Amino acid sequence: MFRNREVIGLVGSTPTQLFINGLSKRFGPIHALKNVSIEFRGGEIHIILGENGAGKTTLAKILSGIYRLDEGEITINGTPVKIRNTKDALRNGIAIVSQYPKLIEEMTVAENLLIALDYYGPLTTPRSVIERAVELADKYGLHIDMDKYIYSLSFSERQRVEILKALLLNPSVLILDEPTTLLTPNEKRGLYRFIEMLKQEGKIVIVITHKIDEALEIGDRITILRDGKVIVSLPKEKLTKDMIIKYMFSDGAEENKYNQIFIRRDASNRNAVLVVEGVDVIDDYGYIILKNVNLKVFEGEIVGVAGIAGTGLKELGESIYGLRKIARGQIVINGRSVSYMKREEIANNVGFIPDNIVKTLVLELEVEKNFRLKKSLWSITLDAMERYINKFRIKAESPNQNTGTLSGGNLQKLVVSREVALKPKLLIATNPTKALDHISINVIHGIFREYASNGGAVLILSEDIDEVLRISDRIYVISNNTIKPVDSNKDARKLMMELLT
Amino acid sequence: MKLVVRRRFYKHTYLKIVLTVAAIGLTLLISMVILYLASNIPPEDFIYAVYMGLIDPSTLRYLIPLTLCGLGLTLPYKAGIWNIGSEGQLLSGAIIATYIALYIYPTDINPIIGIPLLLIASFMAGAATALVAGFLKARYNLNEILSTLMLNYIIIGLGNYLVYGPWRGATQYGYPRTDIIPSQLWITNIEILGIRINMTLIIIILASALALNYIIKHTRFGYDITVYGLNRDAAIYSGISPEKVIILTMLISGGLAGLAGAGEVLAIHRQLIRVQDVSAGYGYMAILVAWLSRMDPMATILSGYLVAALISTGYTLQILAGLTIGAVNLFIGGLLVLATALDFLLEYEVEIRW
Repeated sequence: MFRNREVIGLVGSTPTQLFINGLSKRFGPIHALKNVSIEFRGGEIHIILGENGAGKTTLAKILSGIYRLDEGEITINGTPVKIRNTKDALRNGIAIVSQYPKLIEEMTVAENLLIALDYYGPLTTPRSVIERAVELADKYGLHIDMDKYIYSLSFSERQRVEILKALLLNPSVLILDEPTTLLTPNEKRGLYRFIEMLKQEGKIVIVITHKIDEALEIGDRITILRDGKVIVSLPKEKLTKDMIIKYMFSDGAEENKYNQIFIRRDASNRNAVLVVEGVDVIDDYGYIILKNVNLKVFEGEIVGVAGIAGTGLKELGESIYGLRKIARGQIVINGRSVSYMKREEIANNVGFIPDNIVKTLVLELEVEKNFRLKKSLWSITLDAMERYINKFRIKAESPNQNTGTLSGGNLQKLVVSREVALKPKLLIATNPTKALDHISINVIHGIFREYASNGGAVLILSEDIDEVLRISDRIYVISNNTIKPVDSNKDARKLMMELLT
Repeated sequence: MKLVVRRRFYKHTYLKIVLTVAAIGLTLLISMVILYLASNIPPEDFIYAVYMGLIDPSTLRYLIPLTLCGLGLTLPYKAGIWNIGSEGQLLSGAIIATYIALYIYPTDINPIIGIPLLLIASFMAGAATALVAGFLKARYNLNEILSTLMLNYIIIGLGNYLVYGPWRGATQYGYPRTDIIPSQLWITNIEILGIRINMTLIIIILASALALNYIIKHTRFGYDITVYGLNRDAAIYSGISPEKVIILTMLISGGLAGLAGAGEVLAIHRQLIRVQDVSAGYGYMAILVAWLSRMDPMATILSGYLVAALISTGYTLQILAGLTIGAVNLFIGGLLVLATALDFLLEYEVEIRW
C-alpha cells in the first residue's frame, strides 16, 4: 500500500481533519464507548482526558485499528474510511505510540525500526529506512543509538524508538497513549517539544492522559470522557481545573452509593502489623513505578490507599504479598521480613484480594474447592463455609456448584469471604468492591470494619476515592510516583483529587 | 450461518466417555477404509483382526508397560507439565535393573527380597532421569517438553553404547545384547484360565492406579496438582509451591516408567537388548494412553488396554495380510489425531446458528 512513501505523508501540507461520529463499542455487557463524536483538527494538540475506564484507550485502539468499532463513522478530510485492522489505520495515516513500548528486547534499535520496511515498497533497502530514521531523529530531537539492544534502554529511550517507528510510517495523525506516565520532568519537556513540532507541521496529535495539569499545559483542545461518553470537547481556554475535575469525576451523585459513614479511629498506639519502609515498587516491565514508599498499618485499623489505575496501586499490593520483587527497602509483616518468608507462609497469614480476582479462583472447580484453596482452610467444615457464604450473601445454590457459573459480583464476594475466613493478621484488598452493587458494598465494608474492630489490620488499595474516604481510618494517596498521607479530617476529598491528578 | 464457540467450564463425565469412544470408533473406521483402499483388505478381515486384538493374550503383554507409563503421566499432565520422556525413563529403569541383576546381585539373596529391591532401584532410576528435567524446569523454568525429549535420546544412546560395548554378553555370539540375568530374578508368569499373566506387574499396576486415584481425588497434594494445572496464578497466589508440584509429579511419573522398564527386562527379555527393541515406543504411546483416560488413573487401565489391543490388531494384520509395522502406526497416529481433535469439543461448546 505504501509503494511510494511520498503519497502517504502530508508533511507540511494542508491540515488534516479527522471526524468520528456516533462511535460505539461494546465488550460483552459493558459499553466501553457510547455514541462518541469528536472532531480532530490538524495543527492542534487534542487531549483525551478521563478517569481510568472512561474509554480513552478503547477510543485510541479503535482509531489505530486494534479494535473494530461496533457503530459509527470515521471521516478523514471529508471521506469516510473503514478501519478494520492496523494496516487500514496506517494506510489512512493514523499511527499510535502505546503506553508501554512494544519492542523486541533481543533486537537492536535499528532492527526494531525495520518493521516499517513492510510499509515501504519492495525496492526500499533496509539502509535507506535506517537513514530516514536517523534523519527523523535529528529533526525531532529523538536521539538514540541505532546499534543498542532494546533491553539495554531506559523507558524514555524505548519510547523514542516507539515514536520513531510510528514516524517512519509518516502519519498525519499520531496518537500518544499516556506518554508521560513513566518519564522524568526533563524527559517530559523533551516530549512536549516534539509534540509541539508535530503540531507546527499541521499534523493531528492526540494525547491520551488522566493528568489534568498536563492537559492544561500542552493541549489546545480537551475532550473529557466519562463512562464511555463525551462530557465536553472544548478549547483549553474555556476550561479550568475545577471544571475539569467536576466533569471527570461524577460529581457527588456517586457519594450516595455509600450510605453508612464510619467513625475514624486512632490505632497508632497499638502494634504495627505491616511496616513498609523506603520501598521502591517495580512494574511488570521492570521500571520503578512507586518510589520510597513508607506505610504502616496498625492492629485494629483500616488504612486506605487511593490511586488511579496504572499508577502502582496493584503493584504495591502484590509487593507486600510477596508476589513481586522490590527494588529497595523492606516490608515487614508481624515483625518478619516478607523477603525471608516462604510464599506458603505469606499466603496463609495474609489475606489478599487482588485486582483481578480470577487469579485466585479456579473456575473449573466447585465453590467448595475454591474455598479451600489456601492450606489453612483445607479442612474447614461445610457448615462453617456455608455460614460465610450466607454472611456475604453469595448467590450459590450449594458449595458444590461450579464456580464458573457464578456472576462476577458473586466471584468477588467469594474471594473476599474466603480471605476473611482465613482470619489473617493482615488483609490486603485491591479494589475490593469493584463491580458490586450497593448492598454488597455495604456488606463487605461492614465486614472489614468488624474485622478491624476484632484487632485485624486492613489495607485497602482502591481506585475509588469515595470507598477509601468512607472506610479508612487513615488515608494515603498515590501521587507523583510515591504515596503521600492525607489528613482525613480536613476536606480530604478535594485534597485527594488534586493530588491524584 | 454462524459458528458460536464458547468455553466450557463444566465437563460432564459422559461427554468425556462419548468423545473418547467416538475417537476410537472413528479411528477404526478410517483405518478400515484406508486399509481397504490401499491394501485391499476386506472389512471382515479387518473386523476379525480387531476382535482378535481385543481378546489376544499378547494384548496383556503390551498393556503392562503402556499402563504403567500412562499412569505415571496422569500426574504431571494433570498439572499441565508435559513430560514426554517416559521412553527414556523406562529405559533408565531397564538399564539399572540389568546392571544390578548382572553385576551386583549377590546370588545368595532370596529373590523374594531381590526382585522388590530391583524394582525399587528401577523406580529410582526412572525418577532420577525425570528429576533432571523437573529440576531444570523448577529452578530455571526450562521447557520440560524439550528437556524430557532430549533426555530420551541421551538414554537411548547410553543404552545402546552399553549393549554394543562394555556389557555385550560373552554368551551372545557377538550379538548386541547382555548375558541372560540369573533365573531366580526372572519375574515369571502365572497361568490363569489358560492365559499366562504377569501377576507381579498387574498387581503393581492396580495398586498404583488406586494410589494415584486416591492422591488426585482425596489429598491436598492432588488438589495442589489440579489447581496448578488449571490456574497457575491461583496456585501461586494461594501459596502452592510450583517447585514442589513439578518435582514430585515428575518423580512419580519417571518412577513408574522405570518400573515398566524393569518389567520388560525381568519378565520379557531377561537381558538388555538393543534399546529400541526393549521399548518399542511404549513411552510415547503412553502419552496417548494418559490422554485418552483424561488423566484419570482408573480409566488409564482401560485406555491402556485399548491401545494395547490396537497394537495387537496391528500385528495380527501384519501376519494376516502381510502388512508392515505401518499398520500399528496407522492406528496409533489416527487415534492421537482424532482424540486431540475431538478434545476441542470437550473444551468448547460449539453452537451453529443459522
